Amino acid sequence: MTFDLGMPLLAEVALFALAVLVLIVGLITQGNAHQRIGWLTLIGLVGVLGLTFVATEGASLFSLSFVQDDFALFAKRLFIVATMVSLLGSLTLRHSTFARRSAEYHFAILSSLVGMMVLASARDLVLIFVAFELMSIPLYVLTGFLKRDSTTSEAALKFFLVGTVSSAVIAYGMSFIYGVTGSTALEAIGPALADGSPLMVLGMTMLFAGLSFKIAAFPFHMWAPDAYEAASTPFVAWLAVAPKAAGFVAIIRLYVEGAGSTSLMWMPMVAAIAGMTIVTGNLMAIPQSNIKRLLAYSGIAHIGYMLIGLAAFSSSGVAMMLFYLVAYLFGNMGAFMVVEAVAQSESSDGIDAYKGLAQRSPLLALAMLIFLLSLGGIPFVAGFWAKLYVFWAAIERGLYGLVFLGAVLTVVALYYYLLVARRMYIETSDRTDPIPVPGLLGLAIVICLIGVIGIGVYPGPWVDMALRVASTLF
Amino acid sequence: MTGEAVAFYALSAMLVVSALAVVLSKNLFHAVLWLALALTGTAGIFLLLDAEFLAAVQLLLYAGGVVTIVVFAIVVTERLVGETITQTNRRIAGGALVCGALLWLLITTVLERPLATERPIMPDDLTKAIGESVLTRFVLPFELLAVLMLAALLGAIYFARPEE
Repeated sequence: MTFDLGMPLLAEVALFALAVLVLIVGLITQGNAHQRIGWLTLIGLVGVLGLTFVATEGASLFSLSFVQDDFALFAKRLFIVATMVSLLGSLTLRHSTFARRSAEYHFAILSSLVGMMVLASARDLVLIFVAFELMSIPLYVLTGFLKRDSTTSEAALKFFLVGTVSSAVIAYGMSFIYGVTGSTALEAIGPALADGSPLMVLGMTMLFAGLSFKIAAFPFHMWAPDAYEAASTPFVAWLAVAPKAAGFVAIIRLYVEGAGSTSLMWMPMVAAIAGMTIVTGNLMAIPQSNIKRLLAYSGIAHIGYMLIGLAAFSSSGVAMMLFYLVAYLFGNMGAFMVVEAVAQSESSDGIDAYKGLAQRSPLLALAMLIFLLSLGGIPFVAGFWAKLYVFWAAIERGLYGLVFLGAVLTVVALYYYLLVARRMYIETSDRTDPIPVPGLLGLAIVICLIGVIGIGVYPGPWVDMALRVASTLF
Repeated sequence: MTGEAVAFYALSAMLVVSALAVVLSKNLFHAVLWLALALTGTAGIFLLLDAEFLAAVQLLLYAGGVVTIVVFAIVVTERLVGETITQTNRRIAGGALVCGALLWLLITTVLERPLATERPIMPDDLTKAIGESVLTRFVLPFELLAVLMLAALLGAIYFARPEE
């Protein structure tokens, strides 16, 4: 095999090399290396992102267990962009732990990203499992990164326990699948399901339960709000998007591509989980007084909306789910970045900290409003098209009840998003000084704004891209 | 009944009893000793299925390595906390319900379509075959495990080191 920039696995190897480099730089620099390491990581990620654009589509390795198809490349770009936005935010963190332990922080983020990148290409049960573990274990460390805080340790421990149990459930389910098919290749799943083996169905159901933990779908969502509340906000913005996207990638590989013509048999299960996830996420978000917990529960609801797209088990359904992921990336990460800006100034994640924000910092309040409207699904921002297309795909499959439920709860979601908007625009605060926004945090917010408004005004190219990516899976 | 069947049922009985003892014994240290027995019993099952390599790994890593580390962890934390740690079993009814439901599900599923009783054709030297597949088809997950180890080690060191 000759070396060329498009060969599969090159981006992953480069990413790991970057992670090791970050570690070495962290060891040899004295004092505060946070800026230096953060910039090194960001520049390295730009290079890795470039590699995904010159990658040869359709190349594969190890008897098809690692493929570099359109879908994998789309997912990899999504993960890298999410990481870059998050790192822009975390560069502004002034906490002493980040100053001293920056190398560990960035190494953990990069090694988790290696896991996600491999996962996007994995078409083998063993590889999927190992990639999932590589993605998850650094996440537990990062959640408990501010280790002197007792609530942080508690949240990290909860996340760790739930995460390892879910990995065990995944491994148990996979063992049944291997027992029936005698192969770890995903190509073996479809024929075995078509054969109607009950043990196979049980194995796949268990596997789905384990994966539901990873994407925080009902009834496996309890870890999310605690972890979000305790961890540092730029990391949480990433935690809420990238690992969830990775979980969806694995689900699509297993239940759409792997199951093949039998994938429709999972429709009732996925539709039921989608419905319950939307109801739980949205209703639990209403009483929250902490903005990060509110965004955590609303994030759970968004996972439910994406599951609606999956439940259609059609090319357009999967495509619209991918489109939803992109819209969710910009909307959700943008909202978290505004939360970070407010928290740095007010030292509070309470919703009351947003009182009078429109008078104090009109641009910041406007940005937050746009992100919230996108999450709520108002026309001409990205979230509107995302919800509309997902509903559309589900209606094509006759899932009228699910779409009706989703539409009703969208109104509930708008209610709690607008509760935040009311504090920003209608209620007044004693303080009138503007909230200082660090330059890089501002840049992250602007990138997310461009994404949300750009997709909202001109969704065509993104929809075409999602449709093209999804069509290769069917 | 063949000798193999007798050995299987004996090992299974040992496994079920020791596994129940792991979760039911109040004393954490006793639970770990029962766990060692359960892991050894699993190795016996592997041996019965002609998987000698797996049985050896099971004994070395789990019954040997993991149990030793857990014993160390108990000794060290008991000294730190200054009291004997007991396993609490307040939610035993719920746990039994979930386990019973899962057992019922598994039994009915297997009975619905029994698994093949014939053994698949195996290579003569199973250990060699495992080694070869780990370095050919499964070389990527194998290498990825090295990255995983590095990340996990760094994470563990990060939490364990005292703050300066």
